[in-house]
Amino acid sequence: MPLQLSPNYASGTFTAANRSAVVEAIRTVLLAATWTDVSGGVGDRKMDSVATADSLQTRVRLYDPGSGNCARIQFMSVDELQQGIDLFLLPTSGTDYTYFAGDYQFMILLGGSLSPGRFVAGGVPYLESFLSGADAPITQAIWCHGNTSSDAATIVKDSFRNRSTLQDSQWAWQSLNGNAWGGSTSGTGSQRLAALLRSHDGNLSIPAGSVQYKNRAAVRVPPRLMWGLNAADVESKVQGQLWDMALIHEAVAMDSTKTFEGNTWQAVTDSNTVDFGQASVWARQ
Amino acid sequence: MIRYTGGPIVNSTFSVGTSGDMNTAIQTALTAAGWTGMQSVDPRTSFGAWQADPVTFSMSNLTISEGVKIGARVGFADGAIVYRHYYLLADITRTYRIIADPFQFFIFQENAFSAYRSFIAGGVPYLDEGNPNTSGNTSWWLTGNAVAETDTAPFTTFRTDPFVTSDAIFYQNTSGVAVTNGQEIVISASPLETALANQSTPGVGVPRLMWVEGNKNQNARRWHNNETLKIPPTLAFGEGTPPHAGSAPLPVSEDAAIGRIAGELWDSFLSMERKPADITMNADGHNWWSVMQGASCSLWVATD
Repeated sequence: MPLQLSPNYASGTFTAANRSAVVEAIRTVLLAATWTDVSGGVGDRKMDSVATADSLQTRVRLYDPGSGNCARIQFMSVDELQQGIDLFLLPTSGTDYTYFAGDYQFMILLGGSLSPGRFVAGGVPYLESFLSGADAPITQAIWCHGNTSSDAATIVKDSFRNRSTLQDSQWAWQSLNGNAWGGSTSGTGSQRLAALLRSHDGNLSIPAGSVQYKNRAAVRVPPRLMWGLNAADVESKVQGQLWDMALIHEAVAMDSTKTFEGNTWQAVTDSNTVDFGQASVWARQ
Repeated sequence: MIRYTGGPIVNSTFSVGTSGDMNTAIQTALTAAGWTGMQSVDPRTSFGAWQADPVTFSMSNLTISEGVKIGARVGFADGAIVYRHYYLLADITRTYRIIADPFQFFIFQENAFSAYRSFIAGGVPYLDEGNPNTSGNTSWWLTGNAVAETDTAPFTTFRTDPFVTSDAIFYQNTSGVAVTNGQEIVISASPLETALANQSTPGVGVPRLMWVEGNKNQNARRWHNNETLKIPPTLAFGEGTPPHAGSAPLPVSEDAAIGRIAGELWDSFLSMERKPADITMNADGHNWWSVMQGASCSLWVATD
């Protein structure tokens, strides 16, 4: 299954010196990625993603709460019946944010940083044929997470910036067919990516290079996102595939780049030697 | 993506009481599956498979009632030879099933998993993007659950697990030396990659099949609709004899011993679900046979 590329895509950097500027900068990014304004004005916006071929769509509220440290990003269903948790993003301070935004998903990170309040990602996934069949159709799927759990931005939560799984620590929210849940309680139902692993490696000390071809090339697979239906202790299942992303079984420094499938890609995950197979997320530039 | 050979695929059974009859039954099945180069050299019969890279397997009769041994060998320019043989017992009370396609075969005693001399499988893999299919790039594998006529307990193989702790041989040559179909393989000795497993626990270089699951939770193995995650059976093995054992950290100097992907099995898939062996199913327009018994994943081989 090839990597999924959204039809409209924007990547680059922005600077935003205060909370409201963060809101407006993200809005500009999302407009470039063909998201649409729903309501609001400067400092408090609601925008809708494009709907996928499977009619998956999300709404996001970008707002300045009027005080505190961070701008807020809140994902929700387009009918607003399911409303996500606030994700926190600090204004820039000397270093620009990097963004990767397509019709259905966006990710914002601070180059070279694993600090809390410096990473937000979310959207709706691509559905493979297994997931849109009549036996158990997905009619709604929204995911998001950040790397801190409060406006103080002092607590680091796991994110795709440092792991391929949030099972040990999370500030995440997701909704599947109206089953919405999230927060800081992590577990077997937390967001994670399916990885290609050597059988029974769970019992071993995993060496670097364990998911490589004989020519030492790291294996690259589609980033299939899993989470549990309605709670942190529910079995994670594949709910879709990330757009404009790849999973590569190789630990490299964050923000490294490489070229494949006709595009330049940037390492989102930093030197992931914690997870099996060194599974790391890469974003299309 | 499942790597289909396009056939022909043979799925048949035999029960034999003599080595000669077993030899004949296997030859008949492999010929029907498109294998070529059969040579009747009494008492030894050789047979070959050809993908983009040739390899010669050999089959020899044991004593009249003991069955056959199937081996693979490669000769080096310096005269050295690497080979291994695995054993099947001729026993009229045993029902053997052979599932073979032009590049690969599985032979096993049905509904028996602890019987010695009851399983042999081998072939040449599909070479994927990390193992480019260039001229002279040779790769093959062979394993069985008995390495001697005197073995009375089976080694671990793909009949029961996605890894091999028995003596097994997996081979890959990346020297680029061209060889000709049907000939004994003669290549330069370096670089040569072989893996011989002979240990009780799966080490980092032990030949094994890759699997897929939600990192880092072995209970995360299904799609939203409860279908089990399935992938092509991808072979990985380390270099050296034997591969690195146990759970000890791997010294950097032993990087080559890490099991890396050499290729994929043909006409088959690995499902991340425990299933009994010797059951069938229909999927993707084909019928499939479950080869692996009792593991935390299952190996399915196409029978048509």
